[in-house]
Amino acid sequence: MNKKRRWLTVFVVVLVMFGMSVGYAKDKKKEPAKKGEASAAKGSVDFSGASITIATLAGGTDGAVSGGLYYYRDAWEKETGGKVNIAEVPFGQMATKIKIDLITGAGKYDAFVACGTLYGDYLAGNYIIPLETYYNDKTGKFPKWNIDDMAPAQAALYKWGGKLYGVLYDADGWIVYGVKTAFENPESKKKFKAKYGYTLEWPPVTTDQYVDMCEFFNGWDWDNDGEVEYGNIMPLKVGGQAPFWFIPWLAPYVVMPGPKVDAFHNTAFFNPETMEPTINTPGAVKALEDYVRLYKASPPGSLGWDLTEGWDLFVKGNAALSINPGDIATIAQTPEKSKISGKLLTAPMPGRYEIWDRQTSSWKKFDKVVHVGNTVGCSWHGVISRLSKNPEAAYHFLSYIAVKERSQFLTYYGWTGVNFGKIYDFPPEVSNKNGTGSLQGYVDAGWNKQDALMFLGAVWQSYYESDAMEEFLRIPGTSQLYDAMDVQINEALLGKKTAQEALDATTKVWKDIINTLGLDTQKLFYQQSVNYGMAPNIRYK
Amino acid sequence: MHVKVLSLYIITAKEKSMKTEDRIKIFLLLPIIVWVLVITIFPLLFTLRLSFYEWHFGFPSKFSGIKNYVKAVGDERTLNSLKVTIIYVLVTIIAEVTLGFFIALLFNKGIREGRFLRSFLTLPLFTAPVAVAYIGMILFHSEYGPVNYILQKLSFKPVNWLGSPLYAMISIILLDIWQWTPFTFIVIHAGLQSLPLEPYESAKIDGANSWQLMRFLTIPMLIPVLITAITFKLVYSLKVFDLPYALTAGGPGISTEVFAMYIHRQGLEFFNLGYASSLSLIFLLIVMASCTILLKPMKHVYEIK
Repeated sequence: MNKKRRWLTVFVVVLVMFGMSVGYAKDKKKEPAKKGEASAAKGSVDFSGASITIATLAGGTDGAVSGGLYYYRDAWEKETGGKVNIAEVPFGQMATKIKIDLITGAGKYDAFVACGTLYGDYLAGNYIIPLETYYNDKTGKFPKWNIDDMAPAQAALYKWGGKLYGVLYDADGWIVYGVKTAFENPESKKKFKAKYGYTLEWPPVTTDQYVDMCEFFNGWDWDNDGEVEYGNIMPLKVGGQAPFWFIPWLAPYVVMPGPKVDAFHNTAFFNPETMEPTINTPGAVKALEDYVRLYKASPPGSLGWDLTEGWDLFVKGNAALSINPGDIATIAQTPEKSKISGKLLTAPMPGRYEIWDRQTSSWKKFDKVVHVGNTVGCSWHGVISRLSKNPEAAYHFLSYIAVKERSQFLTYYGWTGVNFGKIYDFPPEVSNKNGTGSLQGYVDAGWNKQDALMFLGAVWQSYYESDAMEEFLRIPGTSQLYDAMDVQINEALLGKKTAQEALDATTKVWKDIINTLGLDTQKLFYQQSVNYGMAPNIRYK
Repeated sequence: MHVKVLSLYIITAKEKSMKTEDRIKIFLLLPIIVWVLVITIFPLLFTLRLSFYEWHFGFPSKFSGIKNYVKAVGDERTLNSLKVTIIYVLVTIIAEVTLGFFIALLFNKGIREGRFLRSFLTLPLFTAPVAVAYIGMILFHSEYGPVNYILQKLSFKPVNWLGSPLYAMISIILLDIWQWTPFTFIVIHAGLQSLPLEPYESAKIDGANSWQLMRFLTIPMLIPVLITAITFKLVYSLKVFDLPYALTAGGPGISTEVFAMYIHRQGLEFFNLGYASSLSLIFLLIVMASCTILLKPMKHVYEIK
């Protein structure tokens, strides 16, 4: 080898080693953003020798969902002598890994802190255990937490057929976000009034207003930063969580309020008496037509984005509005990631003056705007596998985190991805004095006070002051149902199909799925999941 | 007499030795036989059996005859994923073999630092397809990606790489070409290096020019090597999964959903295990048929060789 080649080789090797060491050094410098310590002392239970494995979302030691488990793991282990292994799984593979574990009988996981949409699948195979025995235990063996601390609509997701299966953790729901730089710009107000004939102000109360605002803010520099901004952002990549953007948008078009869950009231996806899909009614078609308009007011690349890409663009101030879960509010408070801390606007999802009435096959008009709350998302929480050899230890660990002080801590600090839904998450200031939370707790955790007040108020209204509540689809085969809808919505967004064609195609596939799995079985599951015949899970005003 | 006894003894000893030898052979082959049975034959037979059942997660399985196969034939999404796969296979193979051929020719002529450059050019081959996909997500990001940045600097409009059906497909194809052209290059270059020189010398004496040398000597002599490269690439491309899965997840819509991805979706996302089994077997037949069709015309070439 000649001298020149030798030096070139040495140079390349050194370059590669340098790159690796820089990457390593960067990782070493990044400390988890932990605030507060999880203290521990040896407790009254002894799980020495017990080792439990919990499958959860791959968020890392200080990331969404898994972060909370890691945070309290050491303390629990010291206190009980048990050992916790946290198996992180990427979102797209979670259902696969869990189902393989269950269907093969491997029993590698004692518990799953997974998406609530899997309940129907779990229960179809009787794969998870009800928790009443542990929850109602009066010996003091298990940490005490209260499912009724959760908003009724959220608490319902932890139960099935009247039995408790889930341990309190996360609570997801979609609300509307905006940025002040768009809405408080005098030029924006003037132009908007001239174009639409009404005043631009926060919040967008109706879906029509939301669409108008998104279209208005799309394609011009409304914050004078030299860059063109977008009106709306929605991450719509198939195979991910894209359906969670259409579902809360759909709700005010099709969920008819009523005193009970029945064939025509308080459901969005199926008629619970016949299992006929209701996803292609004129109400749903109108929802999708407006949704296509929202997409056109969004970055064109959003059909290729997963949710974190969409979130990133919004907190960088590149769009005026977005509908999203509570994660945006917490990310917005992070200076390294966000340019909109202190500039955040939040509100419950917009409502409508008219809703499609399946009973009369016509639009029903109301004198006031009807708001429909939602629990869209995953509402990540733990369930115990029937194959677990240490169910008590698994329940003990999950309930250790579920006690009020620890759960509240996880909610105050956004890096955990644990979102808001317990009565003690809401300060009295935003909850008509019903909430028992502390605004100071959020401020101490780094929240901008005004952002926190507005955001928590929006979430409170969504859970506790809505006129109706959209159901949470979680029957067996939900992943297939969502996939079918997702694909067809994409076809509509791409202009390959009209909204009616897309939803008719969705209906056809849904019918096939329901019939394949068994119409009568699916009807029973659906009725159980929506609490058919009972009052909807909201507290009326 | 002694000779007879001795001969008999030798023959018996030989027979015993052969039987022992046979036993040793079988014993040594046993692990691989068990391995093949367990890893290949048993799963194949199990999949075949499963393809005649309906089996969904949480529900007992039930015999359904050929229902799954009938469903597959009429399933729009099956046909779509086949179409996407065929387009992907054809474009990538043509591009990679063509590019690989020209790069191999260049190297065959002899270039400075050829060895170093050859090693450098083969680096993409060692990159995991998922890593390639993540590189692609960054490169082709519609807002922040360097590709659109460069396009805009050159006064072109930014492209919606991963958000439009056409460009999402192009993105996957470009990444595959980047990763796998080195493979075809290596194979063809080795082929070029092994070509005999005498025919070229004779042809030059007869006055053949470069183009005639290429057309009448190089390409015909290289055909077995080209077929080898195409066959390997064909088998790989037909069952491609990780790159499109990681980059686009089959989207937008189902515009980049390849067949292997659809099987994965049916089997391991939706847990329609019977239906996924039938799709797998249909796919196996397609791959086998493709290879047979490709290799059959070349049978006589190999025989002459």
